[in-house]
Amino acid sequence: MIVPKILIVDDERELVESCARFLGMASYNCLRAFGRADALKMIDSHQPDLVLTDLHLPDGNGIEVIRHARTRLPETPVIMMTAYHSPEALSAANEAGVTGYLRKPFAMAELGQTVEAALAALCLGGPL
Amino acid sequence: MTRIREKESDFAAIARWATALYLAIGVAWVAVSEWLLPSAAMRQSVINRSGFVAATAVTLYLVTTEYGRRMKRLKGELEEAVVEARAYFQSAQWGIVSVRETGEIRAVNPKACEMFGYSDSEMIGQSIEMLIPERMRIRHVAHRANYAAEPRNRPMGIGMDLIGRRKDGAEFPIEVSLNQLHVSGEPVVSAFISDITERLKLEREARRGETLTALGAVAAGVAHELNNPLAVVSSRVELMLQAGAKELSPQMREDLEVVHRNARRASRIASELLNSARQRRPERRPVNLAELVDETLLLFREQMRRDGISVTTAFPAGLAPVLGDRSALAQVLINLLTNARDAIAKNGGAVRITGSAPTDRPDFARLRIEDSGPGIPAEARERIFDVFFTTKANGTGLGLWLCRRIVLEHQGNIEVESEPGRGAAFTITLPAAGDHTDAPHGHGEAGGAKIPAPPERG
Repeated sequence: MIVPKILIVDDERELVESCARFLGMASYNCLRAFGRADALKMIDSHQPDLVLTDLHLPDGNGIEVIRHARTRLPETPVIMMTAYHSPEALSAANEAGVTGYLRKPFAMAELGQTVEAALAALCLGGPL
Repeated sequence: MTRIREKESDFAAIARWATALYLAIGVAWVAVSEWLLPSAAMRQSVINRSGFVAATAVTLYLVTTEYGRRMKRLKGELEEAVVEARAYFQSAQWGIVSVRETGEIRAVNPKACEMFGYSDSEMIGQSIEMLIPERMRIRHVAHRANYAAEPRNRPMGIGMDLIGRRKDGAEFPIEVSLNQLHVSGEPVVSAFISDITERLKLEREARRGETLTALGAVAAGVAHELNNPLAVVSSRVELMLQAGAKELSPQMREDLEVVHRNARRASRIASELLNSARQRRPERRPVNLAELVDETLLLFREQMRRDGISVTTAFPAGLAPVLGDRSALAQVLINLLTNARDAIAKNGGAVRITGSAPTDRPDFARLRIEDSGPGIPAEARERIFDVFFTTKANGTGLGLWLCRRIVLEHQGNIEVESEPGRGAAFTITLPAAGDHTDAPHGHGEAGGAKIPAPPERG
């Protein structure tokens, strides 16, 4: 059984933990990054099957995380999680190749559905 | 004017009579000389002199008639200038009050009469201080003395709020420009007065709009900062509810659900705030109010029908479209209709939406939404557009605040009327689109690049 690896990027550690625990309950393998640099490193070293990223990161922009993931792992869906996006940020995210949105605040159930849908689109499917 | 013409004819007659008299006396003198003087040489000298008299008489006549003609032309020009000046004076958009050094009013124009509510005969001969509130009169006399000492053409009272007083005692803000001139050697000051009530009102509204925008930005910042901690709270509660489902007592489960529901509610307030403070580049297109109302009502009709609420609309044919941002105006309507529906609740009632062209503001269109709900008490009415003010148990206090913001951004205004027990009416006045008659329907086809929006959640 392949367990998809999900990288969660947000500087709000406790929220990352919530998401990781929720997705962990659904048997996904979750990786955590709390900043841009962390995220880029983990994309290179772990090659996640899905990336969830905030747009506002303390050491840079989530757009760079999206761009990096799309370049290195063209198959990997990237979902941005954000509370507020200016039209400019939104179009930048689109250009960088973001595949989905999770609008904060989201319920854990929404997170689960979005992740499953993204992975299903990739024909990886969720774990049984 | 008639006096000038009389004087002019007097002058011509005098010139003619003086020349005739001079000639008569000269000729008589020659005749008398001939009769008195025996010597031919002397007579010759007299003839010479009478020739001189005749020549000077002709010259005098020519010069005086030419002078008369020129005077006549000048007088004509002067007359025209007087007519023109009088027309300016009569029809000026400023109130003009001309004052002697003593402060006595010597002339006023119709605009000044209209502004202050007096007839001209009530003002002329009176002191200028009659047009100033009593508490300011003494100060004004001093100002007047200062001005007389150093008269310049200048705006009056720079940095001061000038106030005029009407006959009925009402006071109003004014702006005054002073000009000194001399009439028949007497110094006279003309005060050009504008009533700036309307301008100050617009300025106040613009300032209020700016304050609201700034406040919106602060609120958005706060909302953004609140969102993450709230997301942490609700996500952890969800985890507890899900992971610990078996270990939780029914009471704990209920408590957690309350915590979760309220964390979500706080999140909703925060995201609504963010939404409302979103800096969008607003569109300005003609929006047909009747169409906008019809479309928006589609969202409400079914539920209103279930709740026993009847909805009627009335729009006069040919009502000018307003110039605005269609989606923002739809938001205003949605918020107002939501309030109307909530006010009437499930007891049944009526909502009436009417459009009209205000007679007092020809370049505007007006929309009125009336409901038959319980009405709004006076103390709530004053604060109803304030941010976070709500009378609903589950309200966010953002709906009407946002309505007001949107309407102000459109250079319009929104007002509420209500009597407890007799429903409420909201009236929105928006600038009409004028000549912008391209895109009569234009919904959904916003110009510029389309940016996919994230799915709405709520």
